[in-house]
Amino acid sequence: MPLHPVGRAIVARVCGRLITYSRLISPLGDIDVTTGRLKNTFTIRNKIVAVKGFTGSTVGPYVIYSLKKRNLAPRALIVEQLDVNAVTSAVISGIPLFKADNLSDIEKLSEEGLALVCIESDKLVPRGALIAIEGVDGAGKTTISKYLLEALRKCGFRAVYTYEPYYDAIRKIFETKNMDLTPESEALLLVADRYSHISKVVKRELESGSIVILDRYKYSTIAYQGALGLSHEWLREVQKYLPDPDVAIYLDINPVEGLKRKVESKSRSLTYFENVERIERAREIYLDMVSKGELALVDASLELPKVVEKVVEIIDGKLGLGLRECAL
Amino acid sequence: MLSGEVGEAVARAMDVVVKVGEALGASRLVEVSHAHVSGVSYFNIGDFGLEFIEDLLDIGARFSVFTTANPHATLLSYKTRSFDNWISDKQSRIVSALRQMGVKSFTCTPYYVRRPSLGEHLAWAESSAVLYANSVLGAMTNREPGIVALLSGVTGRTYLGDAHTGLPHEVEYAVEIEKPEDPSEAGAYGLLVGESLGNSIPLVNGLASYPEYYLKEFLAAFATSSPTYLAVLYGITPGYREVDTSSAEKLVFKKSDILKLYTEMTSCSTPLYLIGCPHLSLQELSDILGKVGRVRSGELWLTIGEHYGQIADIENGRNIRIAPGGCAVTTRLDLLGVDCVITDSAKALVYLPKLANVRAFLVRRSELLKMVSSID
Repeated sequence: MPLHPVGRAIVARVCGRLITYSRLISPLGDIDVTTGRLKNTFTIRNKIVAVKGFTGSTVGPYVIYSLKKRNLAPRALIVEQLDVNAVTSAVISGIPLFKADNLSDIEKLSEEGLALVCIESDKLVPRGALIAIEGVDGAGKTTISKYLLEALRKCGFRAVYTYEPYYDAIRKIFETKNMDLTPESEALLLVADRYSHISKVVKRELESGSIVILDRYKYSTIAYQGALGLSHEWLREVQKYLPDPDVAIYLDINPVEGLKRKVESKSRSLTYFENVERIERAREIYLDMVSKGELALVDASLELPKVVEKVVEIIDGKLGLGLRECAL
Repeated sequence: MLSGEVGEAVARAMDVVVKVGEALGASRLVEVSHAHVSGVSYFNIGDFGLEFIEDLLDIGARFSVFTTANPHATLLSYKTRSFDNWISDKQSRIVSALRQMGVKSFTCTPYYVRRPSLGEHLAWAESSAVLYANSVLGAMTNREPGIVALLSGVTGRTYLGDAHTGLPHEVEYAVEIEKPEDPSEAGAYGLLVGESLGNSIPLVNGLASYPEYYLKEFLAAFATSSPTYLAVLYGITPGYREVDTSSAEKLVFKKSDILKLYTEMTSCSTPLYLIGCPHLSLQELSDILGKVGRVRSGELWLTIGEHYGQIADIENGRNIRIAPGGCAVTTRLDLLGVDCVITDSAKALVYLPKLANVRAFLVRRSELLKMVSSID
């Protein structure tokens, strides 16, 4: 969908949750400046806000400026009707402003669950997002992933959940041990599974605008097969054609505690990968990736609601989805 | 300038002026010699406006051209009531920041501070002053938003809007008004004419022989109800003869049309009387003071430009208050216990209920002066 940038300045790609409001807004009176909430509906913080236009007092621009200073402003503004108040609001606050030909086209995106969008090359395009949930066994990856899936859908996003290893054939090899596995063959099998999964399943979902929650991703291989003594560089090298996720979260828990959770919850014995010493080494590697900024750390030993809150905060911070206000 | 080689404040100000111009389809900028800022009353712009102005000052903004600003809230007490200190403090901070940036005077009649010459480019934001500059003085100014005028004062430039390209070749309406007999009536006509014409620029006949304060009242009220930047005044506006009215629709406004604005005053026992919207000239002030003895009930407020300074002691014992640099209309008079205001200003009639949160009644100036006078 084409957009017309207002002003000559080159606007870098900006992404975030799309919020549409089909009426004119009068910032003074319509927006609560302590919360950034518009007319008792939603907050505009970090969102891409599309409105009919601006109206009302000439103090409006000062209100938007004030929101910006309080970190409550939107990432971009789109208006159908351009006026002086909209322009001055955006310019004095350093918020990219665009004019849309037709607001109702934009509203349709929201209605179809394509509420995560980017503005790039003067176009509004729906985008998907890849959220990787990592962690040692029993950290709560599946629980959190399923919760997130529900939260995203509740908030109006198109979302899917998937996991790795993805293909039954690969999973069977690990379960039946009918092949002699070495750390290297183990790593390559998992990486092969991943390339196919990403290329044939995940990519398609992302391109259709879905948010994909991925239960384990390439960091698992670095941690677990790295724990078997394989070189991290090699594990990175064989995975270098895989896309980086938009958000990568590491749920951290003491391995003993994690395994205890698993055994208690599923009343079953440990699987091939679930060996305490190996998991402890994997945890160290995970924490090393956290310290390098590759993964965002969440303490998974906390009560579930706290863990959920932290995960949502990280995702909202990165993607501007506003899950906190519609799902928590 | 945009790249910041003359400082962050100028670069940021320039960015806004350029983008506003682009958004409005202007082809280029124009240098201005005088900026006039609106949005000064704390009651209007609140903490957000205060914050913006102080931030601008902090990053080093200073006016590069002659700059005046609208009046601030009138911080007078009414009878025994006055504003809380925090309100006065915040209003003082706005005034102080603008003064440090270089504002020469706080008034809504900047043409009494510095009279622009014919064809001069300005960046004025006060609508009544914009109409006066374009329609009476033949200067050229967009009807600027307050922020744009503020930033134009910093950059010395604004965008080239229609107002900067001279008078229109033709007008859609040619308006005739029946002889006003009081400045208030001129204002009442202004309100009705503005209301009737949408966003069209009219040619107005009927004011050529009047003193300038009639024009001021007419244009201030016209600007209240019309979004345009100009009314071509027959016999007044420089170049008015060049404007083609041959295909204009003719409209006549009669005395009987404006009577509806002079409604009966109901339950207004201790009114605040207000003259000076727009601000009075010294001549008007002197005429008024010469005609008023002591105000019998309530108070008479006279608002004038700050540059006239404090007029000493004339108010003693007469219940007359003079507010240099103040605007009663943008002051929350209800907080002072004022219930109703009697004014000769058609512009104030519209804005007092909205901004000052009080009831307002329109009377002719001559009647108002009779109402307030008594022989002791």
